[in-house]
Amino acid sequence: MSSDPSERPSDGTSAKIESRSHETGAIHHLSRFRGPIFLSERDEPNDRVRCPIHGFIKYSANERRIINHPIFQRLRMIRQLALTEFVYPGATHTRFAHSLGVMEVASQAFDSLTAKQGDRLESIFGAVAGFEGVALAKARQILRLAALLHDVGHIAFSHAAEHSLHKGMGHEALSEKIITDGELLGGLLTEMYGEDVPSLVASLISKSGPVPQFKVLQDIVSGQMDADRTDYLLRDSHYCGVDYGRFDYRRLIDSLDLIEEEGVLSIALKREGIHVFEALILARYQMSVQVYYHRLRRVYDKYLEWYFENLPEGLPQSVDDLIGLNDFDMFGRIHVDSADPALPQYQWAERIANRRHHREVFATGMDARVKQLRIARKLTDQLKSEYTDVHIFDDLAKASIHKLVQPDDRDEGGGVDVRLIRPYGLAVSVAEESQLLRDLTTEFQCVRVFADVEPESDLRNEIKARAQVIWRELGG
Amino acid sequence: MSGILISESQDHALLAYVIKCAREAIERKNARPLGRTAMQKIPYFLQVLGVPMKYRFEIYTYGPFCSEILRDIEWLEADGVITDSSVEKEKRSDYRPGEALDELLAMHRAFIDNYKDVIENVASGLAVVEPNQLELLATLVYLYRWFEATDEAAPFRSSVVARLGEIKPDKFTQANVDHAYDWLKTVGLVGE
Repeated sequence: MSSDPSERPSDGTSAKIESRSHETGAIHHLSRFRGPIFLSERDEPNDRVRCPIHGFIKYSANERRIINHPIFQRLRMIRQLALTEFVYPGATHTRFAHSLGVMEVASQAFDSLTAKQGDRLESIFGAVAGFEGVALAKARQILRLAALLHDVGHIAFSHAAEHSLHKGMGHEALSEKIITDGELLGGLLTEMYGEDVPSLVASLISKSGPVPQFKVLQDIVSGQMDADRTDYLLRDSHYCGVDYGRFDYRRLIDSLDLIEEEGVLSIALKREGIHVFEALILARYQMSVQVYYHRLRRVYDKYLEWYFENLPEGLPQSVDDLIGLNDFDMFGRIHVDSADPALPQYQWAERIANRRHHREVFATGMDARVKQLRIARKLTDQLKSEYTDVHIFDDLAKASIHKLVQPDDRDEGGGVDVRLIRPYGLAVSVAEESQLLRDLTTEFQCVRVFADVEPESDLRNEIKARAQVIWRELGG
Repeated sequence: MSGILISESQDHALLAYVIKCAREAIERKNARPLGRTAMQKIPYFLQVLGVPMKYRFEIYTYGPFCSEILRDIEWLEADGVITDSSVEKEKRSDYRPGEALDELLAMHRAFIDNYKDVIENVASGLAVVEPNQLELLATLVYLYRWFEATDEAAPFRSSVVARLGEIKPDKFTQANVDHAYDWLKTVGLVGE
């Protein structure tokens, strides 16, 4: 882990940065930068909060105003993993704690990079309009704000109900709106940090990305080895009570470096970081299979989707209506609705309230080929036509495990790559060095079929057997 | 098997429409087949011009790349929305509209109509460009955005071209660069 920000001087033109190892406390790097470390006294991290994952998370007086703002406080009422608690009862943690954690990890990554490449980063950031003389301090601050606010556009049940609730404005677009709109958080950000900051922060979390100079900052928040992923893997593992998502993230952060190739500046890994990078990718794979795409979690995601789509008043349309939705209020509403069979959303509310779910009757493998996905969908239609009295549906789950493309794909259109810096500065692709990553599937994708049957019933067994026959007949 | 079973999203429709427009331009100009390189760069430029999509591009030395596009194209092919007519699929692709293309576009007609002009303009313009020229275009846009973010005042053209010569020396002729820059100006991807 890199330096504790509170140990740094807040001003001075020749600040001396000391970076301490998280585990040993030993000073392992010294560097000198021209600009201040913090933008003002109000940006020094003098407050702190306990975190079960990272220990203390420090924040500044200005950041406290954002954290205490009602728009950010609402994240306390939005669970990180929606109804995953129906499978893993401990998974009741919130977007609020995750957002603080991402800010902490992003800061550690930034400090690790500045400890190694501070002069270079100061030169690059300092050439951007509005950053001269405060390059590292301002870049670090907008990074912390982007990390803190990257999920501020999440509404009730996070990703689970996104398909229904976010029609027309996804959670990332809503985050950008909240950050830049003067009536929401944009005004406060402008008042504390300057009028260019809201759009800069929003650009770090937008799909289209920031100006090229800040692509490195975006990659720290949400890249191949980012703060968002690091925090949620560790945090979700902790609260679910599983170990799949744990990896030695401090080693990963310590291994971060920069590389510039043909004018493009990217985050790279030092050679010794390859094994922890492999661990990160494996953690992502295991957590996807065991937690994020658990079959029952997916069933309850469907119930939420159908519940919202059947609300008599329709789906929320305005930004105010969207950010007014949180898990607590919606849970209350679901329980009320579960007692009134006359309501169109009743059957889904009742299932959620009473944890009464469909059962799996068929599933492809976890890395099904595209042809198999199509066959499974056909299979669902066939089962529906044969068992007209049973409610049957399917779910196509897909997730990217990693985006590293095999080396020989480069001839046609390039590939997503993480550069590995060998001793003496030679850079190679991580995929070229790692047999494990070359062999690991890049995508998790499967189709599961569910039926409204009792768990140990003859009917369930009959449908399961019939599904296997259809699968073979269709060439699965 | 026919019918759209897995590629139903708005992003799938966007890629399908890009392929439709690009293929029409290729046939008009008898240009080289539509391959994977073009199907990375065209969506990237569309995103820069404000067309919403889920894809997040990584920028590397050979230009922007998003592996999700490759997967989505595979799904489009499986559903018969597009075909890959290449006889050497491992090496290169030759994407063309398939029998289910219009069905998918009809499902997302409002979205496509909203961005019809810019998609047609960029897809037809870039489909007939050689892959190394696509790299040039992407690099010029990258460098323009770099200089635009600095304290320097416009025009940036000479700074962009000079920097290009430093980072990719002897890779492109002056005539190539001038032609590419002028085209980027016409579609609004760079200014002078």
